[in-house]
Order: sequence, then structure tokens, then C-alpha cells
Amino acid sequence: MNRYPNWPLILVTPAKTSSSDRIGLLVLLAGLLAAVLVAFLAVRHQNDERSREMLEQGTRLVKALSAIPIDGLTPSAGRPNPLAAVLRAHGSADLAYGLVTDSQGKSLSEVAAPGLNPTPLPLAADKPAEWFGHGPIDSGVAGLQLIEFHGPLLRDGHLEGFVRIGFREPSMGLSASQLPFLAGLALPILLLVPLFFFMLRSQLSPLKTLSQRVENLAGGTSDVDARDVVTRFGRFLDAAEKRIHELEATRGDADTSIKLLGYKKAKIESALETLPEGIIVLGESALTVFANAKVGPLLGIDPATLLHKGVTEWPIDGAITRLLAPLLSDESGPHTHNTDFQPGGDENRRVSVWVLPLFAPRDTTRRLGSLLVLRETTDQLLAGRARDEFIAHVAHEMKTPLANISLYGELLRDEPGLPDETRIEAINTVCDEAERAAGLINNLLNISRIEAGSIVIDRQWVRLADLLNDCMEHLSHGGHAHGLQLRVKVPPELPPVELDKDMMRIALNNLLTNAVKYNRPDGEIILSAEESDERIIISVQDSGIGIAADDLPKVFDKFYRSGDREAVSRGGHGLGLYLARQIVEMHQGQIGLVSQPGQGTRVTLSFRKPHVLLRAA
Amino acid sequence: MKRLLVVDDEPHVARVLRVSLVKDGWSVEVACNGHEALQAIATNPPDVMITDIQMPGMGGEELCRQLRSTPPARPFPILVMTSMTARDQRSWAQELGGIEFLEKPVSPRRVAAILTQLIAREKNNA
Repeated sequence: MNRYPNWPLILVTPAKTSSSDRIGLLVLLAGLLAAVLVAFLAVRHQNDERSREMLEQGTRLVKALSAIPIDGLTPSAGRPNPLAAVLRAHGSADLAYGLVTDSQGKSLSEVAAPGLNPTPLPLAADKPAEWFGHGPIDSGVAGLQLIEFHGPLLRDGHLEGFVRIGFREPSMGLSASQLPFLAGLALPILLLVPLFFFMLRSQLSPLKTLSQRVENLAGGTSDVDARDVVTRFGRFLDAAEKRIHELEATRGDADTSIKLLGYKKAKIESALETLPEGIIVLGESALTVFANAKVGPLLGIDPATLLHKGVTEWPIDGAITRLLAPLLSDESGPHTHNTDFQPGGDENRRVSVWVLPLFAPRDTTRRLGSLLVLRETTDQLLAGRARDEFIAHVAHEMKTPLANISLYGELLRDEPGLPDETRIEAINTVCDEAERAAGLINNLLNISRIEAGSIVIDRQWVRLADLLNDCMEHLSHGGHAHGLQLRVKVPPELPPVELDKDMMRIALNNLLTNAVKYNRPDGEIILSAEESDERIIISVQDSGIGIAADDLPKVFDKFYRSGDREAVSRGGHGLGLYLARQIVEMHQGQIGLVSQPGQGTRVTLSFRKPHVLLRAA
Repeated sequence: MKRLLVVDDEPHVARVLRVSLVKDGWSVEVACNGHEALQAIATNPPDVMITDIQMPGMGGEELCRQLRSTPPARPFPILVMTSMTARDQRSWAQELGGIEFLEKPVSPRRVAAILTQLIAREKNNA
């Protein structure tokens, strides 16, 4: 749609004369004006030249005449006037007069053009600086201005008179001699005017046609071509304007996109920096384009040193680059790859790397680069080792009683003629080992639950005299403590204590089992409780083989077993004291152990009284 | 009487083997770790040694390595008690060479048969 339906009305200004006539007149006037201007400038230049020439001629002539003695310039009898002869010889048409005066101004010789009555310049004989000079004088003829040049006439350095030469001053008027020159100047200009006019007319012809059509349209004249031109021109303007808007919009979109991309890039980089993993991004040319700060400690380098370099150029251990290079090549395929390495060759550290190929969103065959995610997996490594060690310990501890049961079972089966004493020992060992396996399983389960945090302490008010007597009776009825003296010592005034009774029973049973296992045949076990101002203390004391000083710091460690021959010969799986410590610490209590090899061991469990706990809270 | 040295932190294997092998003319001595075994071997090398691997102090692997680096005055066959789940521990024994394996749980009759074979082989080699 034409958005300019009225514009011809705005443009049209009807004229009485045609524009072609006006232009022709203007061109003619301009040509004449140019011819006149050129002629004026030429004449003026010519006059200036004549003035300069006259100035030089006058000065030179006066100086030449000044060099002649005054006698040589004044007439004498029998010879013609020398001044007249000199001036005639000079031959200048502008020379008006010549005059020789004495120093007082009295005329000695005079030659003048007819009709002239010049008034010479007054000259002072006492002012030598003014002896040479020139100046305008009145010619005595209206309209004629003269320039007089004068100089001194000297004899032996004394002033004897002056010589004066008058020239007509050049006028601005035109002379007949100048007409050919002026005509020669004006003719080319006047000839160029019509040529220029026709050229201009030829160039303006389309505009004239358009203007005529527009005028016709404005005047209501039916001109299909004009309307068509207007319509097409309007469409052209519409299209041009639309295109301009589109370009502006495109540019605006591009600017916005660039800003948005910059913002998104900054946002993505910021997000990548906050990740706990090390992130490296490689571009399409396999050069590093981004590496976050977490990469530094994982690879032991400044992340900036990786930028704009391929993996083989990274300033890191060559073993690592050799490990990564195949995963970053195009031959590595579209899958995620994973590998591990040990930074600095440290066997106790491990860094895992995942290499993810980056593909174009709509073209999975075009690889845009790679993303490397690095994570410190030392904890998992150590946890895995600890788990393996734990499993190995448990397997060993579990297999040992089972192997013994199997061993004695085969002995009983294959040796029917065994002495009764050996047979009873075998049967007792089978029972002991079965109980040992069960105890191990129970302890493992309890430790597992405690370490997993799935056991919640269920505190209840417990009379320690009852708990301790129950534990000792259980030990006595089991028959393991045969020959040992078992004593429980609890003061009658001891107040109830808030404990998880079942868990505390497990801890005490483990301690009592150890007290039996490592006691001497006729030894003693004392299970006691006492109180101080702030604490309740339970202790298990035996009179057994004791523990070597070197072993004391480790006896509460999981699976720790003394290397002492006597201790080794009495079995054990290294979990009893560890489990007891866990249970005591769940009650915010403390466990301690003192021992003297050959004399016995005392284990103490110490708990703060309720009012102390409240005060601490 | 032939002498068998059992190196194990568990006393039961030695007790049972002592009961079981005595009628075959074997005397059984006990060491509860590698250190005690080396002392016993230095004093009087046995005819055969059976050792566990995992023991407090010096274990079975270290014991065997020391016997290989510093051979006793009179060499003797070595049996290492191992289990199906510890096959990876056999690599060091194979590396040292000349070490037989005894699967756990130990069977007294199986041990008696192996000891008989070993003694027969020793006689043939001699």
C-alpha cells in the first residue's frame, strides 16, 4: 500500500514560465556575468602591470638622469635641448614632462607634452633623504593625474639642482587596443554558455518529464504513466523503509544476541566455577578454552596455563596426558569415558576424570569439543581400601572359628579311638568356636548399626547393682568362668543411672569375656561401680596376663590384636574393646584402660551424673 | 620321629594335628607367628613347616621371604594354609617357588596324606 498518497501535492508548485526558459535565461546571465567579471579582472591586472612598469621606468630614468652633470641636461647655444633628446629617446607614451631645476627650484630646462601645465612637487635642498622619490601631482588638465619622479643633480657631492620626470597615471578605462584582447577572452565564455545550457537541459530532461507528470497528476490530468510512476516510487519508498527497519531490527537483535551471549557465557563460567569438580572445556580444535579454579589443586598447576593449549601441551605429568589424549581424540567415539590417575604419583591420592564429548545440538556427528570433569576421589579410594580391609578382617575372623569347628569335627569323626579327655576338649572347642562365631556376628552387627547411626540410645533409669549382677550371673552360668573368682561391688547408696540397659549389657559382656579369656586359671574378676561428685564409674578388673605397654594405645582400635604369644593363643577377634568404646561414647561417657603385664587389666567406664550433664547443656 | 612345625596364631590346628599325626610318627611343634618360627628353625629345622598367612607380628609371607633370602642349614618343604577367597595371595608364593598350598579348612587326614607325599618326594630327591 502506498503510504504517500498526497506527496505530489506537496512537491508541485505551478509556474507561469517553463523551467527550461528560466534555466536558459539564468545560464545566459551567468555567462555574461562571468565574461564581464573576467574582462574587469583582466583590465585591472593590466593596469596594475602598467603602474608597476611605470614605477620602474620612472625610478630608473631619474637615476640615469641624476648621473648626468647638470650642464649636460640644460640647453646651451648651438645644440638641442639634451633633456628633450633623452625623453624622446625613451619613447614612452606615458611620459608627460621633463624638468631640470636648480637647487632653489628655478627651471633650467623643461620639456612638456602639449596642454600640460604641471605643478612640480616642492623639494627641500636641506633634506637629502627626500631628494630621490616620487609622488602624484596635478597636471593642470582635468581628469589627468601625473606621477612625478625626481632625483638630485650633484657636482662634486654638492646639490646643484633636481631632475623631474612626470608620467601619466594609468587609468581603468578601456582603450581601443584592449578590445581585441577582451573579445578573445569573452568569446570562449559566450560559446561555452549554450553548450553548458544544452548539457544541463539534457540532464534535467527526465526530471522535467517527471515533474510534468506530477504536475499533470496534481492538476487532475489523467496520466496513467504518471500514476504508475508515483505508485512504483511509493512502493519503492515503502520497500526501502521496510528494509531499513528490518536492517535496524536485525542489528538490534544482533546487539542483543551478543550481549545475551556474553551474559550467558559469564553466567555459565560463574556456574562452572562454583562446581566442586574441576572443569576443563576443550574447543573444536582440541585447545583448552576454559578451566575452572578447582582444576589447580587437582592437577597441581595454575589453570590459566592450560588455556589455548592441547592436552599434550599441558604442563602436567606426561603420564596423565598420555592417559587423557586417547579419550579426547575423535576416535574415542560418542561415549563418556572415565579414568583415574594419582597426582604426583601419590598412591594415597586419586583423581577421577570423566571425558564427555560435546556435540552440536542438531548434529550429533559434529564434535564441538570435549568436557573434562575432574573429581578428587581419594576419600572413595581410602574408603574402598578400608572396606576391603574390613571385609578381609571379617572373613578371617569368621573363617577361623568355622575352620576350628570343621577341624575338630573331622577329628571326632575320623579318630574314633580318641582318649576321653581329648574328645571332651574337642567337643568343648566346637561349642566355644560356635559361640565365638556367634559373638563375632553379634558384635559386627552392633558395630555396623552404630557406625551407620541406626542405633538410638534408649536411656532408662537403671540400678547398677542389678545390671552388674545380671552380667556376672550370665558369665557364671555360661561355664566359661570356671575356676575364677567373680565379685560384684556396688555401694547400696549408689543412685540409679540413666543408661541404655541393653547396649550397656553388650559392652560389659565384651569386657567380662576378655577378663575371662585373658585371666589366669585361678584368677579373679571384679565388676564394680562407684561414684564421685560428678561421675559414675563402672570398672572391670581382672588378674590376668595383662597388656604390653606397646599395645595399650591401640587396644581400642577395630580389629586390633596383640602380637603377644600368650594373648594370641587365647583367641579373640579384636572387636570387643572397640565395640565397648563405641557404646560408652554413645552415652557421652569415657572409657579407659590400665594394665600391668602379668598382673591384670582394669577397664573403667565413666559417665557424668545427670545434674552435671544438665549444667553442661 | 619326623618333626612338623605349625605356624599359626590359632592354637587349634596344631592341637588337632598333634593328636591326629602322632600315630603316624610325627611330633608337632607350634609357633604363633613368623618371629617365633624363625627362632625355632634356627634352633632345630623341622622336616616340614605348615604356616598360616595372616598372623600378628610377622606373617606367613614375610616368614617365607626370609627363609628364601636366608636359607636354613637344612632345607625343608613349606606348606602355606590358604583359602579359596585368597587366591590372589598365592602370587608371592609362586614367585618364591617351592611352596605348596593347603586349602582351609584344614583336614587332618588331608594333611597326613600330603605329609606322606612330601616325605616320599624328599627321599626320592635325596
